[in-house]
Amino acid sequence: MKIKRLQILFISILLLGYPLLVGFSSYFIYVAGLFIIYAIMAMSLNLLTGFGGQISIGHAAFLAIGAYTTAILTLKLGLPFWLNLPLSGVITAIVGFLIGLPAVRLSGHFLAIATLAFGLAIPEIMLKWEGLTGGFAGLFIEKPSLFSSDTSFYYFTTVIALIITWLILNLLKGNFGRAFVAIRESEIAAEAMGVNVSLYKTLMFSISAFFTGIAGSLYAYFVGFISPHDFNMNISLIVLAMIVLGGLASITGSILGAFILTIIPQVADRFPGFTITITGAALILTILFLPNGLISLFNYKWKRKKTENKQLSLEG
Amino acid sequence: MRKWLVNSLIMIICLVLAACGGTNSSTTSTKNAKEKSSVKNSQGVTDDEILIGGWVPQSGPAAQWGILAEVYQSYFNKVNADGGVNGRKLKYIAIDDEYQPSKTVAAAKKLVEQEKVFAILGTTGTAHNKAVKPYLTQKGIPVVAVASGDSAFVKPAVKNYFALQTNYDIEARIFSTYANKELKAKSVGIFYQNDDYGIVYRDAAVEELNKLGIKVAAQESYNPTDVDFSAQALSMKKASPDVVFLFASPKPAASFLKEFDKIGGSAERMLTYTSADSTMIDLAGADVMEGVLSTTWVKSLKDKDNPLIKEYVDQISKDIPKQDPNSVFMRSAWAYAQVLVEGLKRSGDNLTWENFIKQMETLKDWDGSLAYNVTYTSDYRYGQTSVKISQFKGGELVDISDVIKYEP
Amino acid sequence: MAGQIIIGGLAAGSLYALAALGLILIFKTSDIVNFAQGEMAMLITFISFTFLTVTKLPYFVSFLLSLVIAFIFGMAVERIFMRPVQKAPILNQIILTFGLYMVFRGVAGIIWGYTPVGFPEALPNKHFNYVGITITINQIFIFVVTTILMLGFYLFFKHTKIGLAMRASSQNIATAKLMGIGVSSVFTRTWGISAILGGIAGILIAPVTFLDPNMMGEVGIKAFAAAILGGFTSLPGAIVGGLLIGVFEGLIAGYVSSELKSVFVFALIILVLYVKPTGILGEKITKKV
Repeated sequence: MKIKRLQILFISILLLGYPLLVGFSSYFIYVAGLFIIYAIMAMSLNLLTGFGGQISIGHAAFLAIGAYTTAILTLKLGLPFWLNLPLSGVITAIVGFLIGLPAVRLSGHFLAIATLAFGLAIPEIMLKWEGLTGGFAGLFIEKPSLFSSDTSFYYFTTVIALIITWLILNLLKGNFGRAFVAIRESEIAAEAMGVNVSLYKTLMFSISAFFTGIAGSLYAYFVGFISPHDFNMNISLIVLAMIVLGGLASITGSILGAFILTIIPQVADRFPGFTITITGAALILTILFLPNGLISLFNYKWKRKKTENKQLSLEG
Repeated sequence: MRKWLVNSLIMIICLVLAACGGTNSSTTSTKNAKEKSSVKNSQGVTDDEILIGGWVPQSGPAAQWGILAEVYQSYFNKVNADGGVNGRKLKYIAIDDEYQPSKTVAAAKKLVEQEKVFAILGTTGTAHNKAVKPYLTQKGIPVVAVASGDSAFVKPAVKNYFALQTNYDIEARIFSTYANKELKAKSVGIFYQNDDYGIVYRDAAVEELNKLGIKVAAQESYNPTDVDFSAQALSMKKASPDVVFLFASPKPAASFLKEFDKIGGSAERMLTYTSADSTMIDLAGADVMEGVLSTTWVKSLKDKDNPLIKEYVDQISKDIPKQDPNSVFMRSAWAYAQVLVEGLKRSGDNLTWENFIKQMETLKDWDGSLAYNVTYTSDYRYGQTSVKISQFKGGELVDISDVIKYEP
Repeated sequence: MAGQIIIGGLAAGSLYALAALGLILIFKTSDIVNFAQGEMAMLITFISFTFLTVTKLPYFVSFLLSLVIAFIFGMAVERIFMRPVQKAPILNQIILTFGLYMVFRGVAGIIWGYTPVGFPEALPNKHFNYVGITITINQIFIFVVTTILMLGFYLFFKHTKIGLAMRASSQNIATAKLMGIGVSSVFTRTWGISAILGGIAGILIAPVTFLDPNMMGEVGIKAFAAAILGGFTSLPGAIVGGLLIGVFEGLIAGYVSSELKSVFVFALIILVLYVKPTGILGEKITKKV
């Protein structure tokens, strides 16, 4: 069993690496870098949504805050990138905390719309705040001198992604993770068991925002240019789609989902006008035929029970 | 624990693969450099084909510009039917960037490094074009007719960039001068889109109006996705300027004009060329559009005997029968492609980027395209600054002046 | 000026309310937030437009014909896509409707292109002036249609057998089934009716926003906002929410900043939700342990 599971994972790893194998240019590295950044974002959203049961349709706003923090700190204050990266995370986490405060009182669809509102408002505020953000004209950010090429920054991004994955997995193993899942399964039961639901919910938002902010910082450096065009509602929904497509409450699922949804537009962009249709069709088919996400293809009997439990209603 | 193992495995393999990708890319680039020195032509050119590429949004909020790609293809169809450029057929690759700068960067890299196109044609989005400008400039690939009139692509002139459509600053100045001289305006109101495009216009207009001593009575903005413009129309009416400048895309401009008309606003209205199109009649109605002024930099379909017009109408009606060939956007796109092909023709069999750029700079007051007086030199990359003043009359946009050439 | 702004806001608000009705109907019955509602409305509007321009049918005939198609279309969507995920977690449902949203938008673009076109108004384009305030017949018409539809469905839910069945299904599927209600057919019909509502909304909104595959983008988001503000389960809430948003947004645009009007609207929503987490007219949700 375990061997077979590893085999399938190897196939998926091969698939994952395929574009890089055939790629002889920085184009494939760029796309792979985007994928890793989205994977970080998907993992942090999965932490909040998959494990914690809190829906967010405004996560692109956290990505935006991280990216803009980095850009502004670099351009206005001239801070070095090793400071910018954690600072972007921290500032985004503070915003996440503030958003988490009212969100504590909401659940289900109401929380979804409140986060949607947040996601829509942030890019507009950035537009209006022209002096700081450059408005629609956007901001250019140069890569740090240590990792000035696409390839070297790609390595850097990968290492950061690795560390974040490790952190998230450890977090989930500990008290935090258990509290999150308890809240997802039933807030009232969790409260009865002595979990401070409000505190943990706000913390969940902050932690998820922190990692997304880091992803945003990497995004700013990696793409080299940011403008409000990059952080609209569609991005939030796509990232949400990544975790549902890959598998809720699954870290590998998040990565898989991010991979699929970064690659599809790149493959489909040669069929003008079909990009969103193909992406949409992929989403529909996965939800209909693999309701537990693509990751369920790789999970075996001994695991199945566990995933089924995870699929319990998120509204609790 | 197992998950963690699997994850690190994935990541490590990613790293290894990235390393392969990285080394591969460096080897190919040196190979390319060698090819360039030994083989005569730049990438994208074979004995019987020239590869041209570009990104155009074909889904997402700006998908209406997707039509540009169809027009380029249509023009290339015509050129190919006539035997191509010096015996080489033109092949065009359009990439959908969904109007997202991060995808535009991917598209540019893909076109240059994977598809290996010879030149990039008529790409959309000011922010999007800006995002890839450093990369494309570093590569040195010719970028012809950026579909944006932003000064970032002409001021200062960049070696591989050739603009074509009327520069936004210049049109704002044309409007101001016209309002001053012809309309004898004492005050002007500005309705503009709150983005890179509208704000560039607004700033240039305000500066010029101040110079001319004309009062800026109102500055009303909107966000690109807005649908309700009643507040802006009201404020504009309240400010009662003699002339209203509209720096807006077609849908908001049409909605605003309808609303302004409905509440009884009266002023001369001047609409930027990027929206002054036959679709405006359809959207706002001929009554509302009557008398609206604009500028056009592409030849009118009225001149039916002109062979340039005839070949355009014939080919477009064949390739894109669903669309009205009178569209300014489509005529503009046709002109972009014409200028590119003229540069290719002049390059003869020496199809290097170096020579192509040199040949483009030989265009001087060239009138062989739908644009007027196309000119490039090493430090003048506007393409053209020659426009006609036009006006909506009886459900049509007609030219009401001769060609006027403005100095940048 | 304030008077005119309020009228303009009410006009915009009734568009949001109209678009929100279909959303609420589906949510009330089957507990699904339909992200594709706006795009379904857009597709039906395009179909109506095709009847108008290609087959040259009169406005009223093409209107009715497209609503018939809407009913079938809505039922088909439920049968093919929504039925299999009826018991799935809410996120799966949200993402499925998001997938439908992308596909509908993409398909409309492929078939009809993205160039915006004008759409005829329901009634002749006339307007009145009264103490300096201008109002068009169509604005009144949209408001009246929205109110009638809202009242109609409100009474329908309250006083008819099918309405009762719909309410029962929304409360508890298993119990409703035990009571002999064909829950499946209730859901199917709800989607059909919602598509009709969407069609009416699309056809009445298209003259204002113009017809293209993106036409429902902004209105769709504001419709969500209206629904949430009103309480998401309350039909009168849609009207209250829609009008409130329309007027508030108009006032912000007129007196504060036209660029930040949406930001203020969303701040208002978050504030309202903070004070009353179920929206203005929303029913209290009791949590099961």
